[in-house]
Amino acid sequence: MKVDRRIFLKTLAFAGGGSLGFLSSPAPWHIVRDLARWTQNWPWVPVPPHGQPAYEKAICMMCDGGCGIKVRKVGPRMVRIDGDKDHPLNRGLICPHGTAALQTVYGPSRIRQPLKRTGTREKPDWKPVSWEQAIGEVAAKIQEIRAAGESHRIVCITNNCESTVNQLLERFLQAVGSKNLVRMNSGRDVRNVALKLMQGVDGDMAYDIENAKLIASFGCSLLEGWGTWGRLYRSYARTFADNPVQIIQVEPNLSITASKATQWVPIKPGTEGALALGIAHVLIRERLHDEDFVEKHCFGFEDWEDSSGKGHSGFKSHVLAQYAPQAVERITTVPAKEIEKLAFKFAENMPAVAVGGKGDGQLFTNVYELMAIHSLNALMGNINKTGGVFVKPEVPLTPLPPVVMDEEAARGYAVDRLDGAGSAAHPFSKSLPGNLKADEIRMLFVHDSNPYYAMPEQNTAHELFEKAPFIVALSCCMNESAARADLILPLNTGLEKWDDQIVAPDSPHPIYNLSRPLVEPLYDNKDAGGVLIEIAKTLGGTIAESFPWASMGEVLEMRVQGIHETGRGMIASPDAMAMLDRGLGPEGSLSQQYPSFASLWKKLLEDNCWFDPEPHHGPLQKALLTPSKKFEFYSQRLKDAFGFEEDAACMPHYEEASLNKDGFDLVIMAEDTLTMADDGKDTPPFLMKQLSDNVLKGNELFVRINPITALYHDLEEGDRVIVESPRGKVEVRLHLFEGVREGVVLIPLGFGHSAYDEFLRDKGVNANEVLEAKTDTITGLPIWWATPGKITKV
Amino acid sequence: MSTESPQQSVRYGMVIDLDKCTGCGNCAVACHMENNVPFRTDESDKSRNMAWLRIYKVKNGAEYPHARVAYIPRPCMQCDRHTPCVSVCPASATNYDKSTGLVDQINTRCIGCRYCMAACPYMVRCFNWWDPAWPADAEKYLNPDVAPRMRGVVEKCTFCSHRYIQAKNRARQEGRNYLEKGDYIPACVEACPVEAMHFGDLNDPEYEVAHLIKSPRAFRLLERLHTEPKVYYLSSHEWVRRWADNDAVNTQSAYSQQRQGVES
Repeated sequence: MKVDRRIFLKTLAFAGGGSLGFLSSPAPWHIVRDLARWTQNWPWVPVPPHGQPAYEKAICMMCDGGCGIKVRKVGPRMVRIDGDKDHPLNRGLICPHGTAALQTVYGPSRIRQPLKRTGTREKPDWKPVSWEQAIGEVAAKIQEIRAAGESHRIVCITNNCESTVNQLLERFLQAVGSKNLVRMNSGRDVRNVALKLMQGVDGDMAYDIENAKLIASFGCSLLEGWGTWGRLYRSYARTFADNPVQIIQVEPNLSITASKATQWVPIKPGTEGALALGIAHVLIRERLHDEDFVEKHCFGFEDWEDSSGKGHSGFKSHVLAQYAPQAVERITTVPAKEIEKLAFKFAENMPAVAVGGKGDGQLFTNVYELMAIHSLNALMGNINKTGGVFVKPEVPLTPLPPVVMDEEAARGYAVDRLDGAGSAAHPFSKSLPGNLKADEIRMLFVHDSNPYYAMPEQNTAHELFEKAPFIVALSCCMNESAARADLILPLNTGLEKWDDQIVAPDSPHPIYNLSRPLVEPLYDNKDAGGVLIEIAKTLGGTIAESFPWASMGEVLEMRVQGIHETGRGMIASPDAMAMLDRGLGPEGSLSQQYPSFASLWKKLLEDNCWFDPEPHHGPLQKALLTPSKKFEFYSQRLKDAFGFEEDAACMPHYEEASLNKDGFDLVIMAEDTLTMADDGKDTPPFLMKQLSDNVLKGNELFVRINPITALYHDLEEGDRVIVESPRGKVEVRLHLFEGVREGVVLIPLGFGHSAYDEFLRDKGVNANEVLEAKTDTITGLPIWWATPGKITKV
Repeated sequence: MSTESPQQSVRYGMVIDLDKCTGCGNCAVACHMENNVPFRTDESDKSRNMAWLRIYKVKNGAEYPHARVAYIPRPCMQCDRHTPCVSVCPASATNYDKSTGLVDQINTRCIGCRYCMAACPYMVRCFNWWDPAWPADAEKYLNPDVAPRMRGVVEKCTFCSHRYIQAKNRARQEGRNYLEKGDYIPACVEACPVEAMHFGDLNDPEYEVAHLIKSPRAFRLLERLHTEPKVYYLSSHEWVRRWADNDAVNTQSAYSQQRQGVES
């Protein structure tokens, strides 16, 4: 159409008139108003519903530290977690993992129903199945293996928590015919061996840090998750009190503990044991040690003769001859003068405890280092003394009744463990998952642990999950190990399940933590105990007879009766704790306060924790069960087990860690951080938020080196580099930090997950890929805290 | 209230003892749980991620083994005078409450111009570049006392002002028109495991904070800007105090120091 003047003007008039009409109508106002409303209405932004408010106590199950928590509920939802001020271990302090635990409970990596794998282990597909089918398949497989007479090839890898669930697992395996409950290794394992060798006791070391005036920590990450976090932070807070505790941190690098300790003693990596012996030298030379205790209760201190009349040199002459401060300075680089000062400081601040074990303890050291550190406690007579070292007392639970075993069970149970723990080669260890061989296993259960990711012996772990014929995972989350299972039996998390903790790590008080469901299970999941009971019932026969209970709650109720019968201790209720704080005991004994078991059980369900504020550790003799009935500086058990000819091999001594290798000029050290869960567990997104952008940037992980190391290697901040060890190599970026020792590459643990959710998956690299695990000859535990390495620029 | 002079009114403030702080991050995690702060797959871009309370790690710059670090938890500074974000906001979305000194953010008023972010000298404020999204069932842990924000608005630490309102309501129910000590504590202070954080009325000698701010160890960040922050820090180390950047003479070098040393 041709637009002439007339049409043009007409159109203009219509348009103008229309606009004028529109503007004089209310429409523009309505549009502006609606637009404004629309910009502020986002129906997909959630509106958290209100509901009946409640606070309930519970136990934090993010690690096995056993802190008490208080959960805020709104209707059926749990919305916040705080510390429980009435829990004797942590008294209201919890770590950020506990605070963020709800992100895991409601997180996307939870498994929601039993799953059966259809694809390959590397590329799995999952088919939801019913609980009946899943349990039926597990039972059928066990029947098949038992029928073939191979029940001793059923293995279960579990966490290192002391709990009724683990005892039920052990029981289940025994009823089926296997000894192979294999716990993931933790710091407890190596400390237990040191205790066994020097004090002869099968048990846990317990440090009375609440009453100590000085804590000498040889490389322990006290503020990064060692033992019970809340308990350690309470002790750290005491460094600011009117009557302060001193923390001395011996460590190569400036960790949080080192930077916050009263004193940081920088040391050459792997020489902590030598420093302990140097301190022992000064204590003995200056006669600062507890001569009375050493004379009466110690064996192998002075030179001695055995029954055949052969002379042996004692700890005293051994230490005086070899560990003079000048000699120790050459080993450790700690100035001789400083060693003298440390010894005096240690002796002047009694009671003091010396604690050892790198990281949370899981970065194992050789057992002689721990023996050297523990000998400081004995030298000062701090065994079984307030503010010293105790043997962990037991919780008086009703023991589980004897297991009923049929013929196949008895046969299988008589066969030695597959991991060689307790064998002639490793007589003092209880569990060595690194020794498992895939071709010896017919069926592998993995309970609440993540060996595929977390085992230092990565080759073994990967082979297990490639070759084990049938893997059943009992897990809450889709971790690396569950992702490679054939069948997943999904578990409830800590806040939805019946569970307990029998040992609070390193605490001299007997503490029993009971965990009960605070909410209905979120998904079609069960408790581990309940699953075992169901499998046992399906299997029938003597196995079902060994599991006469209906549910996990029933098992726990039965066990707690033992506590009621002893009548000792108290429930950690607010009133009782308030009395305790005022220096008063609880009103009457446990049996006076709770005459009937039902009343005790009800109270325990409410407050979750029983403990004994005045534990009876018994006489010193109960803590010294060695062949000589004394504290042994010379371990006769070690001599009997390995037949060492040299005296030094049975005594604490320094062995050089082999960190030199041709072609590798640096030392790669594992770094235990508070932010990342390093035992294969989930790290909640809010902790990932805490990471600096010089720890993780995008998906790239940073390792830390000293600026001088960087200078020598022509490297700069932020460089992309390959960190290589004899074991493997990883690509990372560099962050320069003056707190790292020269020649050390510090790589943080807990990154590089291939499973879990998008918030954790593929972030950085797993340090285990470069850290080489060497087997300790005595304990059989992997030594993997450091490895020779080198850096090349990409 | 109207008869009271500003000096007499309640001024809520915080004192953080950096000698005690271990940088554990529990304050920040508790804050983010309490205030429904969203999270994303990549949290490493600190100019885009959301955090109401950040913990800065600073170092003394000395060589090994004299190197030391300190951690500076940084909530909103709650500036008391010429509050920069309040004076620039064109939508009155950020509000200074004269009766308490709390600087609050009213999300539904915010038009997302981010003028306040430019004005804030402490980089406290975060902009919602994306709609908050909680995966799977994570919405279930959201706190009903705090509304999740929407895309296109600025948010920041409010000293948990919802807790103040709740405390006031509770007091009123009990027939009081004043708050008692301990009635109102922000989530971060409550969560600190070593009692490094203290909270209360800076004008009321009943509260510990009123005394702590007079300590010779006390300082504030960027005092030279005279915004009178109500968050005080305590440190016995001169090098930590230097990071507060109060040296009017050397402002230039302070900026370059910050570029080199602060690890956010």
